[in-house]
Amino acid sequence: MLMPKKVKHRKVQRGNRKGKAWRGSSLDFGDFGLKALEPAWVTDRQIEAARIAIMRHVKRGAKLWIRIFPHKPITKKPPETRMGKGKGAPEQWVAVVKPGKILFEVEGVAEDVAKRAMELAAQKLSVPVRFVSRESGGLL
Amino acid sequence: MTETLEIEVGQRAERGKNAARRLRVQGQVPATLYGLNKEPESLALSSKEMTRLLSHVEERNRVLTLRGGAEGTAMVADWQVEPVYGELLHVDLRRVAADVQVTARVALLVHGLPFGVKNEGGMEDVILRETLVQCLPGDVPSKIDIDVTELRSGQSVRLSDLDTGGKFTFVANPDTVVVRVIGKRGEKTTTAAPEA
Repeated sequence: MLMPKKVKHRKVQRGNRKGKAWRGSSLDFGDFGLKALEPAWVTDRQIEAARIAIMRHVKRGAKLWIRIFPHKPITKKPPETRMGKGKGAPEQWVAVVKPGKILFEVEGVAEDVAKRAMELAAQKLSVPVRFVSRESGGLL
Repeated sequence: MTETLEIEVGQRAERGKNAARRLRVQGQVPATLYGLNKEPESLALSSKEMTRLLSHVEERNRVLTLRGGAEGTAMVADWQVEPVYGELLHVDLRRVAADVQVTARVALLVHGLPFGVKNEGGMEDVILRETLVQCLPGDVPSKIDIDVTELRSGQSVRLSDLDTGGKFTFVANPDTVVVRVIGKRGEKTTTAAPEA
C-alpha cells in the first residue's frame, strides 16, 4: 500500500477540496488515462486495488503510471468512545483529488484493452471518472 | 513545412476575469500578442476557429497572418485549457518575422509496431513526445514522423537519428532517446538508425 515514508505531522486537519486540478490534468506519460470528474479523497487501498485491476487485465504487458499519492493521514476514533479526549489515531492515507486530475496513465497496449482496464479500475475508485486518450485529447 | 493561415482578430479593451468570462460567453477567447520588442496587445479570437486549429497537432505550428484588430504575423506560443471539459480559455500569440529565428515545440509522432514488440516479446517505450526546435518561422516542421517498424528489442531512436533536412536544429541534447524497445532483463540498449 502507498504511504509516505516520513511525515512532519502525524495528524492533519481536513482541509478543503475546492477548485479544479490546474496541474496534473493532461496526459504527460502514457497514451491513455483516467480523469477524475469530481473532488474526492482516494484512499491507499482504492489506489492499490485499481492498480492490481489494471495490471491483471493488461497481463503485465503495459507500462503504468500512478499520478496520485496518498499524502494525507485520516484519523478515526475507536467505536463506542465518548467525544473529547483528543483526536483519534491515524487510520488510513488518502490522496486529495480535484476535478480534472489524471489518476492513472498506461502505455504499450491497444486502446480497447486500455479502456477495459480503466473501466475495471474505475469500479475500485470512489470518484466518477472518464477515460481519456491522446487521440481524443483535444487541446491538451 | 508550415503554411500561413489568415485569422480575424479583434481588439480587447476590457481586462480581468469578468471581462474574459463575458468574452467567452460570446464565443470568443481572450488572447495576448507579444514579442519582437513591441508593446503587448490584448486581442480576442474566435474560440471555434482556434479550437479547430489547436486540436490538430499538425496545425499548431502554423504561421498566422493577423487581420482586423492587429496586423503582422504570429505563431501560437501557448494556450490554457479548462481541466475537466477541455474548453479553450486563453491563447498566447508570439510575433514572428521571416528573418528572425524562433524556438518552437514540435510533436514527435511514432508510427508502426516495432519488430522487437511483434516478434521478440519486447515493450515499446516512448520517452519523448515533443521537442524544441530552432529555425526560421517558415521552416518550423508541423510534426516529425518516426517509423519504428525496424526497431528490435534493446534498440532505441535518438534525436540525432532523425532527419532535419538541414532546416532546423534541436535545442535538446542530440543523444536524447525518443523511443526504445525494452527487451528482456539484462539486454543492453543500443542505438539504431532507422529512416525517420
